[in-house]
Amino acid sequence: MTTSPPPLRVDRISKRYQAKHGTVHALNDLSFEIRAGRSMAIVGESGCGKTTAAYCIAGLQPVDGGTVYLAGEDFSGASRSQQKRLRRDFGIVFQNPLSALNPRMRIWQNVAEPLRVHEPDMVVSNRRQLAESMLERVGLGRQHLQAFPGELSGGQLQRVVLARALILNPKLVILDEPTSALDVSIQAQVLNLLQELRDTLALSYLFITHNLALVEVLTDDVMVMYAGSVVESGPADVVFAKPRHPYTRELIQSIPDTSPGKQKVFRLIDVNPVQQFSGGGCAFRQRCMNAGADCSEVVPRLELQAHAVACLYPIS
Amino acid sequence: MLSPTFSHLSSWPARYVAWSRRNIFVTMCATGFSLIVLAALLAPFLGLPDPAKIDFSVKLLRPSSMHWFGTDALGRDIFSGVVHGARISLLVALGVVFMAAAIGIPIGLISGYAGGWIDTFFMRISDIFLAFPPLLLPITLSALLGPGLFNATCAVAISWFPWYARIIRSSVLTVKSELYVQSARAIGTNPFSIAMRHVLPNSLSPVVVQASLDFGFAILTTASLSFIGMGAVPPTVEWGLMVASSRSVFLEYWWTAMFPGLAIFLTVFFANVVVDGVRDSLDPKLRGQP
Amino acid sequence: MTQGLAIDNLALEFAHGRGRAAAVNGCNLLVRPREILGLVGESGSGKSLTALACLGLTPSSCRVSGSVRVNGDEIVGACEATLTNLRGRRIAMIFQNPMTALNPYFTIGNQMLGVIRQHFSLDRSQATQEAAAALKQAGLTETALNRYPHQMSGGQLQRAMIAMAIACKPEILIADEPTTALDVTVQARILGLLRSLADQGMGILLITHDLGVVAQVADRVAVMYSGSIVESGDLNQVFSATAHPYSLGLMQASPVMGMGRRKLQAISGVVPDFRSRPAGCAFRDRCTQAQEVCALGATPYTEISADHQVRCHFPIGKSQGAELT
Repeated sequence: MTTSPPPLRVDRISKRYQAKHGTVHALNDLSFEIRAGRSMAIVGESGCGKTTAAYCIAGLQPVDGGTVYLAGEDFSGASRSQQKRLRRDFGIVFQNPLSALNPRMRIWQNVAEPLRVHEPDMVVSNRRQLAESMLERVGLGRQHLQAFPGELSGGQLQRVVLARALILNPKLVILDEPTSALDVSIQAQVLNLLQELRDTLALSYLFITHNLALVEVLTDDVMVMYAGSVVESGPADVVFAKPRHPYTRELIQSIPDTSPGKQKVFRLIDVNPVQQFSGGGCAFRQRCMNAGADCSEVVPRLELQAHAVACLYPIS
Repeated sequence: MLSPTFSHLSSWPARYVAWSRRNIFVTMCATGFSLIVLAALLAPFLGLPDPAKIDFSVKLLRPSSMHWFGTDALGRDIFSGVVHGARISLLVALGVVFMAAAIGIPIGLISGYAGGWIDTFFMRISDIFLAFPPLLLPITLSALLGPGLFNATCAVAISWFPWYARIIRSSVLTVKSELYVQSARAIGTNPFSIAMRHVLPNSLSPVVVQASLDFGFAILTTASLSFIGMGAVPPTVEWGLMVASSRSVFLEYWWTAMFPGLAIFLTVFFANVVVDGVRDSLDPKLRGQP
Repeated sequence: MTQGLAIDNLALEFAHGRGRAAAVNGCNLLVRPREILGLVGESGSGKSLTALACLGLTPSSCRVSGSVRVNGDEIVGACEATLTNLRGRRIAMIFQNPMTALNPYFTIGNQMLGVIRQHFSLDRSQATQEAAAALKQAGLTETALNRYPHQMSGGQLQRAMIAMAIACKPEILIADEPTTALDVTVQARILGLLRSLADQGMGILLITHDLGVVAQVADRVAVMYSGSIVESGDLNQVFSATAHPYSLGLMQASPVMGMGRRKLQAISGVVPDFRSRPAGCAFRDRCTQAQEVCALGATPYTEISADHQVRCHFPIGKSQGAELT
């Protein structure tokens, strides 16, 4: 019996770029796999590399090392025409829905764009028909078909972007902070839609977010990133219930929850993770309360187990 | 500009009327400009005397019911000359702007989209062009190409294309990094398709603005070239040429310079006001936003 | 004279094709000294406009009526000279995006000295001392005086902006979404800073769309929807006995940790544009318990308890408190 390959497998990808003060390691040997029917979230704060990871996986930026496999095939190393064929297998939703749509094309044209690119023989009316049914699927009525992006609200626009991402029936959807720019009540609508589509269409999500509370709504597994490396990974409920890395714990404790009166006090300094890291060892050591002497010499490796952590002194 | 505040009015004419009421000055200038365009279109059919016909027996007559704007030193009817001249001036202005844009847009698009040494190459060339004082280059090119209105048009267009190249290049640089271009790349659209479908249409709007503003300048520049003998030559009737030929007599016979000069002034003025007033409505990005 | 920031019946109107419409429609708020009032609302609620009105910074196309008093001094209708004296000295504001709210061409110190010397006649070294003291209070060191905005991180910039705002020791501070653009770990620290400022005597109006932020740091809360306050009062009371359907909807739509794969309770529909607001209660088109009376006239305010008011014909009973987790 042959099992179909996972929708996404990432094998030690890294990305560097040159900045004034030296080389910035935006991604350090990132490896993970999303199996069919499961979803993965990448969380972290600004500068941790999660958006870089999304762009590299989507082939929008070349990787400096490692390989991205889509449905078992080499995507990052493929030629442009081969890549184009593989691009059918995933869709991408960005953070800002208004700028993710061509403002001079009508809504249905925006949604039908992937069809135009991948099915050049399809007649315009067919394309329009498919776009219409997809828009209906995401909860937008016919009256919006002919409109321009500037006429719709943020929540509606994000549905359009979602429709476009799904029109070729991919198995993987990359969601880069899909609800960060939306109001709370609209966010709930969009998240519910994403949940429903994931279940009815058997999709896998790669969900990039800084909001930990959203992780469990959409995904099963989570990876916590800091300064280009994964510091902890595993099933979301386990990682959040019993975090093993000091950074994960700090993240969880920083989240304001709606139980009034809890005060969180921190005595740590403000640093921008990517820029401030200098020297060897663990990138988090400058902010870590648990740091020991060898943390500045040894780079901790991510363990090979279900709930893995990259730390010399993990929280037990 | 039209949709949000007037969406309660159902029909186009009703909306237009409401818009005109709020922008009376622009509407007046638009009317004035339309009259000039009308004159240009209908010139041969208005039963006017031949503007190039020389008749020394009626030279330098004051404006009267026979000759509404009077006659010039060669006895040519000035009113007829102004009306016929409208044709030439508007055609030439359109020609200049289209040619400059047709050369400049592809260069700017390629430059901005490709980047790298291609970009550097084109931009250094346009720097050379831009280093010339505004009238000097057209004059020089005109002198090289020879007299005549078509040559003058080419001369001005070649002098001006770098502006368009620069404008569209900076537009392209911004649009290139927009998320919908990234989305198109993620979908697998090939670069040429991305440039034509996504980048170009969204980079054009500053060029359209510049072209509309240049319309007026084109009229001025070609009139200036004709004034110094580089552009239109007799028997072509052109406003700049008319002002030139009145040089020796206009102090005593003011109408010989006044009317063609006024024609140039008003056309350029109306064109600029109308462009400014209508510009926002041209952009679908602003549609539906207050 | 009421201490603190007193907003009474504030209305902000804009002209449009069909007449005038009020983006803010009869807003009443009171921020007392030593207290943080959280003003919660989504886009289209009018909360940012309200903040601008408190400093007299609304756009010229906006007609302001009602009253905004800072410790008795009236802002609405005041002349520019009075406003210039009040701004920074008695009431100050910090904005959402620290990256763009500071002038990139001048050092932090330069910008702070400008503000300080405008309001106090101090010489350069005295003003520098004041600036250093304000920076210290905000959690930065003196070195920040000589830094440019691009040399600092988001969290540091927000602290610098706070330092600039408190340099003249204003009585009231308005914080408009101060942590939205910041990472969550930095947010926690900035909120802690705001709390300590309030404890030292300042009255703070904290504007945000995030209920969690309010729950963490505010003493009292007001919920704003489409131009008016729909619920307000003591934080614990509003959170435990939420009375307005919109406030309840917001709480149920806010994701919390540990809720697993449970579906979020969304509020259907969208916020109405202020120019085409329905008559009567602005929320009725989206409300699950709306009745005919909700469409008629202005909705009255009901007192649920001593410090808890709601603007609703059918406030949710005490037995139906908000589920938080």
